[in-house]
Amino acid sequence: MSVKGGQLRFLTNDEIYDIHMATMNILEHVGVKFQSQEALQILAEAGAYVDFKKEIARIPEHLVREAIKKAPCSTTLFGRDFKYKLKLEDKRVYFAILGWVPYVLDLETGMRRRGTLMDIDLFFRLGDYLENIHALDWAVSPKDVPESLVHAYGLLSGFKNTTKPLEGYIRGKKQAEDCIKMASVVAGSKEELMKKPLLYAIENPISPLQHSKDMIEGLIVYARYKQPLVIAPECQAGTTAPATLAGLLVQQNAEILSGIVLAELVSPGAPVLYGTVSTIADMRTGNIALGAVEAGLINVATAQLAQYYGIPSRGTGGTTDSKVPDIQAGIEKAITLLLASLAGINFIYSFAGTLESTLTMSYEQLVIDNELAGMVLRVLKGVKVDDETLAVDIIENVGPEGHYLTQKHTLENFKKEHYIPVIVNREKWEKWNMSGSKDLRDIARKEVLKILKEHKPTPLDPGIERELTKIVKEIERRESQG
Amino acid sequence: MSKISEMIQEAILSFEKEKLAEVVKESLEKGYDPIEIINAITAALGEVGKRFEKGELFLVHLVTAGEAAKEAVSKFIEPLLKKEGAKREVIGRVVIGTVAGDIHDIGKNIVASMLFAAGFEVIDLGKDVSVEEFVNAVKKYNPDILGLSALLTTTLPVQKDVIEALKKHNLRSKVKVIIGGAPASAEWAKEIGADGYAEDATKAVEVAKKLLGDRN
Repeated sequence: MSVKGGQLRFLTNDEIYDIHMATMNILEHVGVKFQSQEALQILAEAGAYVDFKKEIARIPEHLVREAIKKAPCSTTLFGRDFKYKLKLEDKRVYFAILGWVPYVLDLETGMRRRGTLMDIDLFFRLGDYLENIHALDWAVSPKDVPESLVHAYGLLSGFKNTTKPLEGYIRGKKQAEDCIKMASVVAGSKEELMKKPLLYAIENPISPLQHSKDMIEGLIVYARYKQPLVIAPECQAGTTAPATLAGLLVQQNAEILSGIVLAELVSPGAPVLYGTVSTIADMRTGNIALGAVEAGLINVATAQLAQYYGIPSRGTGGTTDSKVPDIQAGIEKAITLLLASLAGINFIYSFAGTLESTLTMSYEQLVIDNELAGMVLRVLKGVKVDDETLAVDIIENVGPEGHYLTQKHTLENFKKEHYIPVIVNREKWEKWNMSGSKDLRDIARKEVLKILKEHKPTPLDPGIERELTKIVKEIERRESQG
Repeated sequence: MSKISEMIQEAILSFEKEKLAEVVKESLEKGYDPIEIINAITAALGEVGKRFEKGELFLVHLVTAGEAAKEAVSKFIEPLLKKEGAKREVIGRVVIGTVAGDIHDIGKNIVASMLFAAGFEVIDLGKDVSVEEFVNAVKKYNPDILGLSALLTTTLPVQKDVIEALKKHNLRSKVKVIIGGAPASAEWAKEIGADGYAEDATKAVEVAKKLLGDRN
């Protein structure tokens, strides 16, 4: 299942070292803000220069080096049955959906509306089926669930509807601990969960150079329970980071490494991912532009930096600023996904199904993105050259004038060598015209309906489901008492 | 499903030419009715076609199965029928070829193979076939259907030349003309006065059968 990227690199070793040195300078002399006295205390005890009042920790280089040494170069993320697993290491590439998106394109009307709990169920089921999407998340922020319960409802839906790995909610200690409690039930125990992590969590530093209170609380919980923890800043070149990409990479590096330092101090050996959601700001509107081609460049450089530090990576790719699954979406998604994948980013999040810089989710787009992901994975496999694939005997056998359609070699190799599309249309005009001249969004919509009708995810053990439901009820009671 | 049908279907779905030949040869030796074997092959090919339409199988399966069937029938069954003074029952006769100036014939070969598998008698004139050769073949074989293939935009007009030549020799009403090839289209077929257009091999069988119905 797993395919390696890493064929593409833009930075030379010297340039990587320049970025590293500049980062050490920023960390030690400017420092990073941590909105948490607990975190500042931990950093101070380890030898950082901390101003508790300003909440700023200046981090000397030796702390960074120690943290990098402690962080594992490989971490495995599991699905609930422990059979489905992602080895986040080296230049292996995996694709994920995302969470928190406020809007969804309604499957019936095609119009944008707020997401609901029903959407969460459906996106999980769809994602469970799509073979090139490897990790899932609860897609939308449901308007019919209070924010204080989203983590519990979202995770319950995830465990019920998929056997692929899931995200744990990170904003706040209580919520993070709830997620750990639920995942421990599924894993069998907390010890088992620590050995075989079922959740990944994402801490987004607030650029420039800050870690927010609720995120730090969650970070500490997930680090303690050894669930893969992504530190992924969303720097925007020109607004929240320098306009230059190299400058952005320095600031981003300081934000990521400061998060990793904290995680490894809290829990030595905690699995962390060197992450990015960075891109440029659109300088006309100030809007974030996740579909920008520069996001692809930043991902390539981020992958190189992660590889330099020997830490698994998380990036973005297959992102777009388009509002609907259209040509702009196609262009931006293809370029950014291909760049991040060729760079060998291990975990490509914010991708499948997203539109409008991850403000909108689309069912059709998710199915289209599964196809795009399949194509990109095929690219990563490259061209295999050996006696069997050189096929000299077969060419001789067929000779001039013949054809290869009756060759056993063809039968045995075409599926290994060709990506067989699911929804992309390669018919000629007449057949396409006869079947209603459908464009890709129409075809994808039909595919969505088919999958939702036919696909039944492997059911969750009824005992575990009862236990999880009980925990969710307890959380509901706790939150209603306020 | 009878024993023989099962064996034939299994052999065809293995997509190994040798396997089908073996099963057919053994069955004939055991005294199975050749007609029953042909029917079993046709049914098995129908199954392959169905799975192809559903997207479960690919072109390579379709052609491999078709070729295996063609070989087994022409090598083992037809000689036996001939000896017994019998003939394979066919649903119609097709003369087919790639037009002059064009040596692309894989598409035409696939169509020929599919038509054969569907129960047609197929006379394949090959590739780079001149207008005159097509006319002579229609005179000689009196086919129900004439298939013209062209892959190049530069050879596409030859399809029109053949139709015009048929008119000149008063043969046009005697034969249904079906055209194909990447640059061809239903629109082009209409423009040059062909009776049918098919964009792929399975469609070609469908169109050929329909034209046969129109004829009868």
